[in-house]
Amino acid sequence: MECMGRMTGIFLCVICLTLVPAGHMLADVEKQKANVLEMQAERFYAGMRQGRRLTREAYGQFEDMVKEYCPDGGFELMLARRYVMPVQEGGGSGIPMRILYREDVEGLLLKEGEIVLDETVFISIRLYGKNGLSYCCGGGIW
Amino acid sequence: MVGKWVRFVDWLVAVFLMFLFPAVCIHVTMRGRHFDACAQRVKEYGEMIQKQGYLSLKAAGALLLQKDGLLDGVTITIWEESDGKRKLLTLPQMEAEACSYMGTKVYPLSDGDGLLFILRLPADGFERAFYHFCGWERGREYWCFFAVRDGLLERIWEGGEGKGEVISLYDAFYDPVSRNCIHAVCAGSDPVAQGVGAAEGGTERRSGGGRSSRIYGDPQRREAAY
Repeated sequence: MECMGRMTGIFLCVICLTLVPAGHMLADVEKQKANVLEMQAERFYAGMRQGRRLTREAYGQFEDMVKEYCPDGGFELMLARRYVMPVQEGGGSGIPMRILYREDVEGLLLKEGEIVLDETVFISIRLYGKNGLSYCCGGGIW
Repeated sequence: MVGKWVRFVDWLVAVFLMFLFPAVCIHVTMRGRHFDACAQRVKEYGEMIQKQGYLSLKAAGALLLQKDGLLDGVTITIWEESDGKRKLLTLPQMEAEACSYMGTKVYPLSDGDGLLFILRLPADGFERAFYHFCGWERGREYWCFFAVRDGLLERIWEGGEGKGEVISLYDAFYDPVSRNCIHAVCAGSDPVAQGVGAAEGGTERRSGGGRSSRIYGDPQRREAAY
């Protein structure tokens, strides 16, 4: 009986020295992956703002990165136009007067190759993942 | 003799499981939370810098010298990304290129510049012991990137050569003697001055550092906006 207790104690020590730190490590790795994704989302937005356009290559790179770092998650990309009266359709960017969601953006990129963004456009990028990742960034172009 | 050793091992295991291990676990968890709080603090600084368009030397000191109590022990590196090039920002360099804005020494930024903050917290002895059997000695690291939204260099006027002080917007465009807004004399259109109103004369300006080549961003874009 004493021997059983001793063996259990030693087994628990081994668990504490290996499995518990390993659990912490895995959590840290997930955090770092989330950090990388957040940074890349900010860079993606900054690139769109700086270049005033969304290109197929940049979109593809961002999509691949999200798939690689967060296979259980995804992202949402929305383009919207702000307007003042009188409402003007079209405009320099060719973006219609409604919110374009990811599918619409992908369709436009497939057709045109790039989307030109002017000062009336708002961009919203949202990251989400099953591991609890939730991040939102974006803004206007000016 | 064997019995004594066995009892000693029993005692050691008990102390380890009931005291040492929980204490180290709590220490590691608290360090992780401290680092998360530091990351949050740096993000707040970054969001302010992003909107203000400049990095004040006081904030730079708080970040790089960790004089802010919360950031003690955390190493922060700031990289400025401009025109595809990355430059490490140090305090002496920022002080050399700083200008005075609204009575504060600031390091001005331009629209489209990016600031990359890298936070590092190396593992201490307890953490190294905690992760020893997993073979992991890496400390904590956090990266955050902020694109400047409204650069100070595009908002203020700099002219001429050599080091000097940038006059504040108030001083630049308002003459307290005549109580008139002074039209800024500059090469090309100055949308801010056009909006303010015109009068004869100009205000003498002294430039700041070697950053005058990035003043006002793209002039065509500026004129189109106004």
